[in-house]
This record gives sequence, structure tokens and C-alpha cells, in this order.
Amino acid sequence: MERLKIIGEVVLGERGYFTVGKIARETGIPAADVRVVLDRLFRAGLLLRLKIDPQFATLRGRPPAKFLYQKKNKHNFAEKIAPKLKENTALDRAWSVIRNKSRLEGSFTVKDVITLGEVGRENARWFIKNLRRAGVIARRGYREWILVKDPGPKRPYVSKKIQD
Amino acid sequence: MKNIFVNTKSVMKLHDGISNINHKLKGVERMLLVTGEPGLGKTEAAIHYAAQNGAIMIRTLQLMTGPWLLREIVKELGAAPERRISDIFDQIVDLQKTKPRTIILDEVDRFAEKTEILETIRDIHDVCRCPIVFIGEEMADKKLMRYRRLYRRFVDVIRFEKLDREGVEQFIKKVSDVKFESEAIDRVLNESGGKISEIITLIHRAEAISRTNPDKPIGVKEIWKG
Repeated sequence: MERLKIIGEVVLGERGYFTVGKIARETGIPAADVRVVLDRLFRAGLLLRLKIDPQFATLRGRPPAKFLYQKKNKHNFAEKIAPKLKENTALDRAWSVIRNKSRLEGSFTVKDVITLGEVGRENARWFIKNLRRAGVIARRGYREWILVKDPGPKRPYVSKKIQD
Repeated sequence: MKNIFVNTKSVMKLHDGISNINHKLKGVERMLLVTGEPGLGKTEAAIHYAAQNGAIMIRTLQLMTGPWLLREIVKELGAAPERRISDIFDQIVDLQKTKPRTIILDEVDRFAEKTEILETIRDIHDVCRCPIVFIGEEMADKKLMRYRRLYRRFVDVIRFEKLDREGVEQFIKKVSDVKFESEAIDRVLNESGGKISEIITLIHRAEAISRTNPDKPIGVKEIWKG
């Protein structure tokens, strides 16, 4: 899983075509392992694979099996390599309250999140702090928050990386 | 004030009503209508239910049209709406088949004059067989009664009532940090008319007064001396 994540992040940053060798060089993972991962992503329909025509391989003897890969859909690919979030957690409930309150009444408070989401005070405050740092919510007035950008019903992933 | 969601009688009725329409029986309808005056906590109860049970909530708007509503439902179900309306409808059917979820529509009185939207909601209900909860003001049931085909599908009509003496007492006991004298509870009931939003305002006032002596029960004189 860790291997998929490392390779996935490098692939996501690639522009145009790339080869197994290139990814192996950039990640430091053995080419055989990279080939396995890219093959799995290709079979999942996330990558395009082009075989180099043997006529362009100038070497004598059997031409090497060299493939060029390309991302099929950047959005789907990013979704695939994103960490899987657990469902029906306290933070999911908090996110549901934040979204519904903001859409129905324009703003929300920490108290709303604690009361309606049945979330612990510290959990709620941690989540709100990280959402603010990620630019999803913003403060409006005293103890009031508004949703600045709505990433949809799925809880946004806020990690330590975003905090830095 | 404690951060607790109080399950009043009306909230319990709402939960029972939704559990009654969450079934897999064929030929039995799955629509629920919730009515009540403003300030009784209908929307709060719905947000609480949606958060705890993963239902989707949609705020209806005056300018909303049928396609707009369908798009909103698809977005809330976690997908990007297709371009064609027929495709969007199919999307809703597919999404509800894979993961059935209760749809809660707030302020449905706004649709009372919009036959097209109400018929669309009825179609979604009939095709997807998903539970749909309508929340409206006190006259919503009368307004929707005109649409016989739709109204027939309501399994139950739940009215959110004002809190009675017992309800107010329990609410204060659960939520407030300070104790109220019996007379003070009566006064709160009279002043608020049993509306939760106004009871909360009075509790805030009482708590601010009792800050100097938190152990002393709050009486009528303390709150209404001004």
C-alpha cells in the first residue's frame, strides 16, 4: 500500500508519457516493483499503456518490451491514491453538521457541531482548526464560522501536511 | 449551558416516523411529512438525524426548478451531475440502489405551487423506493393536500408541538447548568410559549445572572427583576 502511494504521488506529478525506468529512478523503488504497480493501475483503468513499435527499436535481436504510460484521468487517479477515510466517524458527523448548518442557515458555531454532531469538544475544535487552515471555512464574527468552499458531502481530508 | 441535544417528544416522534418509513416492503409508501411552527426545532432535529444516520438534506429555494433539485440531490449523493436531465435521474436511481439514503427536504411549502417539482419527487420516491421526509411550516399539510397522489403517499404527518410544562422542566434540567425553582419554570413556559429557541434565550439569561452564586436555584425574582 505504501509502495502504491509513493509511486502514485510521483505519477500524479508527471506530465505526458513516462516509463517504468523513469518512475523507478525518481522513487528509488526497483523497476520490477514499479512495473507491478503500474500494471495494476493500468488494469484498473487509471493509466493508458502504449507499446513502442518494434520497428523503432534499433537494437538487434528481440526488441525489449518497453511501455509508455500516461494518466487516463487525473481526478480519478488522485482519488485512487488518496488515503481511504473511515466512514461514519465523529468527524463525518461533524462535517455533515457544518455543511448542513452552513447551507441552511448561513453559518455555524462550535456548539452546533458538538450538540448536533454529538462530537467531543476537543475533536470538534481540532477539526474546525484544520478546516480553517485548509481554507475550507473562515471565521465570521464572534464564535461564528462560514463555509468558504464546499468540497461536497464527503469529509475533506485534513492532515498534518496541510497544517505546515 | 450544556452542549447536549435534547430528545423532546417531537424529536422522538420524528425518529420513530423515519424508522417507520425505512423499510423494504413492496407496495408500502415511504414518505413522511413534518410540520410545525417556526422555532420548534424541526430543522435542528433534521440536521441531527442527518448527521447521525447519514441522510441527505436539501434546502429548497423559491427559485428552484425540477432540474435544479435533481442536480442538488445528485451532488448530495456524492456524484457529479450529468448534463442531460434524463441522465441525472438515472444517476439518482443508480446511486440510491447502491447505497440507499433518506432524503430530507426542508421548507417544502415553497413547492406547494410547483406541481412539476412535487411530481418529480414522487417519481424519485416511486422509482428509487427511498424514504423521503418533507419538512414544512404549520400549514404545509394543507397546502400539499391538493396533490392527492402525493399526499396519499405520506405514511404519517408529524406535528412538532410546543413544549408543555413537563417538557420545559426536563429540557431545563438537561441543558441548564443552574437549577430553576418551580415558579421560574412556570414563568419560562409562559414567556416562551413552549418554543425551544426562546427557552434557550431565557436559560442563557438565568445562567448569566447566577454566575455570582451558581449553587443557588434561580427564582422568578432573579430573572425578571429588571
